[in-house]
Amino acid sequence: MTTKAPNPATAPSKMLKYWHRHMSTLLGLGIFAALLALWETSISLGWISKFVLTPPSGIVKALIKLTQNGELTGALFTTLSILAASLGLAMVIGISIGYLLYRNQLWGKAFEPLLGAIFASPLPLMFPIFLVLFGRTFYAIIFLATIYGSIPIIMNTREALLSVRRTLIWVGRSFRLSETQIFWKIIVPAAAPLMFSGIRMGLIYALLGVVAFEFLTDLGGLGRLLSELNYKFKIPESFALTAATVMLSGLVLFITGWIERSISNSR
Amino acid sequence: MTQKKANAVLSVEQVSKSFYVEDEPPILALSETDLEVQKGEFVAVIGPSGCGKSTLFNIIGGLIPSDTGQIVVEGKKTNGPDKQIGMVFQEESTFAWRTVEENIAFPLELAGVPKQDRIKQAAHFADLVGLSGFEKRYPAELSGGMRQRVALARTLALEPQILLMDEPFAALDEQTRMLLGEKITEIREALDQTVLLITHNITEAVQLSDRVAIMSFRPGVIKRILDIDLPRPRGPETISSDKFGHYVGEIWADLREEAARGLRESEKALADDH
Repeated sequence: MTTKAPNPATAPSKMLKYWHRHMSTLLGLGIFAALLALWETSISLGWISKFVLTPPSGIVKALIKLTQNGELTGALFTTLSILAASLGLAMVIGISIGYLLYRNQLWGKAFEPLLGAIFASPLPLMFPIFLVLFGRTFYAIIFLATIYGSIPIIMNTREALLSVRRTLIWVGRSFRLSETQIFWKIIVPAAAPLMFSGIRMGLIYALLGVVAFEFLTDLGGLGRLLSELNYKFKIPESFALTAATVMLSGLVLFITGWIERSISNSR
Repeated sequence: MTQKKANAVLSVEQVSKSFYVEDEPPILALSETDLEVQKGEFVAVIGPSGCGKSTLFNIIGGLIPSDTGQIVVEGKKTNGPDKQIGMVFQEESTFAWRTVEENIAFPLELAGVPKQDRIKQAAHFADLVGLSGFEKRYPAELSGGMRQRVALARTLALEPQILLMDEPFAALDEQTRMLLGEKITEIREALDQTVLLITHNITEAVQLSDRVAIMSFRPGVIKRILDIDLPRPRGPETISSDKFGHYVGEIWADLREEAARGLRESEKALADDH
């Protein structure tokens, strides 16, 4: 039997291979670029009034202006600080409650539907209650964003700890590990990817909560700046800030997604 | 029927175990079971599904307590997992977050062995199970058979007197299973290891063992112990010999009745559920 050398004429080219590997990303970027071009053209040809919709080029200009005058940087700093505080609290609360609900099966089962119901409910509607409790302060925003962020962390922590296979725990027992050693050396690392998914969701929900409540309270951060720009009818700046917020969410998603993949890639 | 010999390294003495399910009569999984394993011996325990093989495995390993009787290792009654017994499980049991090397070194890490020595010993055991060159890989990058060998090397790193294995190759294909069986035999000879293998595979039991203990279906007791008088190593010639086939036939003759009873009872239980 003879083996044939691959024919260079029929072998896929490097470019073709690159295209196959990154097809979905390139396609997504292509669609996005086409939409931006259509958007820009529609306004420049007068199909849509520029008073209703700012063209992408106008949004970029406004974004540069907002960055240069320091408004965006200051608001971003405030939002990120509130987000960090909320996420920190959500992680402490979420992981602790998730662990307790894992330890106590009865409570876990009893609380699961309740948590699901809170998670599915429109929390911003409860904002007046928090305003009464905390006043019109950053604490009210942090409190609500913490609740928003902690629920997926609670649910995923419990689920992650429960999903650790019994065989892994038995391996620990066969090695004569104490229950504490089994928990830290086996259960926690085995549950880590699913727990991180919960933290990632918590971060996204907390970010949504922070920006939404900043918008409602008019206290500070990206939400407040957007509310002010809307109030003053600064349309290009409003669009620019919305774009900046979307980019921030995208960046958060990308970074946390990358961390999540690097945790689970080794599995 | 049991065989009583002096100097047993592992003795299962009059072990019984029942399981209780709400609103149902208790299930007697093991009834006054006796078994003795001599030093350096390879014993297989074979039985139909649901005969209590895995219960026996868990009791010997100290993972679950027996209702009556005791497990004696080197003359001492055990109380929970014993350091002389190393367990290899049927299900996937490698740590996905650790490399092959880190998996194998896990018990050494717990024992406080310095890092350099751990790496050296892990490399030795990886080599022993034929995983040299894969030390830095994660279990997800390995095949099912390789992962089972990682679990085996991790258990061997503890240097236990007795290797207790519960159908470690059950999830693997027949050819991989036979090759790994040969590997186990080599390792056992290299380390002068005593092995107790729980299995439902008759060929595997005859290929690997010095003695095969046949269990009855519920309640599980050792029904008969068969000495396997075949030369080692047991390569293709031995496996295709008449004598090998005779042993397989003899075990099946004993097991058939038990397996049929097990099948009838499980089908009856399914019918009752409806």
